Amino acid sequence: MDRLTVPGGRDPQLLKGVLPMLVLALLAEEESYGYQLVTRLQASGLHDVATGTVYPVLTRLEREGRLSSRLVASDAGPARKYYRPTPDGHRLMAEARQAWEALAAVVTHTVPAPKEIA
Amino acid sequence: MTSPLSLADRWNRFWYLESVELRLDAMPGRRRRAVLAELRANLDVAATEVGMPAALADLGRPADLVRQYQDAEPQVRPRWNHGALAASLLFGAWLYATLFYTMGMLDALGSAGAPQATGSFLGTRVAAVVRSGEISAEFSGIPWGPLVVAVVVFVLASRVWNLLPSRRQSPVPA
Repeated sequence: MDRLTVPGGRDPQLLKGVLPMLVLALLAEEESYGYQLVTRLQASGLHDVATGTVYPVLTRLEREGRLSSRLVASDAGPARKYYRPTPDGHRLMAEARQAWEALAAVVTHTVPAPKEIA
Repeated sequence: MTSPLSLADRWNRFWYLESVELRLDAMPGRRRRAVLAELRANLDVAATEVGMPAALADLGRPADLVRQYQDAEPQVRPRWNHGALAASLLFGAWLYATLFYTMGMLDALGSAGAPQATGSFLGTRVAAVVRSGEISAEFSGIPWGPLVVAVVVFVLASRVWNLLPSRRQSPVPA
């Protein structure tokens, strides 16, 4: 996945809105356990995302049936709980992506790009 | 290769999870236990990679973490444990005060040389008797005042109004 950095900091509310979509996308790409997913999100450009932000999202998505999980024993410590999206999760990700594109189109059309701001 | 957690790491993990559990009272018991078990497992995994202090720091303050979990809940529930604890403390205080009052009555009877006396304390009638070879107290009546206060305290501490449909989930009009 391409590395993406966001200049000038990030609005926590904006992150909160898109985090489930990003979580589903990364897990669809490759199943991961909680802490591994956080490091993958950080490597994707969300450098300041914390475990305390991601774990509640995982818990919610699993409760809603968007994620399934399985425990895998590890030689390097306690068993890891690996997550992957369910068909419902894939559906939610597709809907979220569509909603994001629609919103992004409005923003792109309405708000001038930074270089155009006087 | 992993090294076992130090005593300080275990204590810090225990203390953090206790702080979270206390604040997660509004979550249904089974889900709360599942969340705590998962949190503990995630902490242990993270600790093998970055150490327990960094793993705990990354989770943030317990109150902030609990807020995130509660935001992800369908609806915040009443905190029955808090309500029961508050009402029990109030009941204990009332019981202690009533016994203290009764001991005072018995002591006064003994000093005055009177054989018996009756009194009332917060709705409870107390009949005290001090005779040669007998010291007794009889309680009667229903203490409505303390009962009403206990119910009010239970309702307030439990946040019973969380049983009502949450306004925060109301759809926002376009």
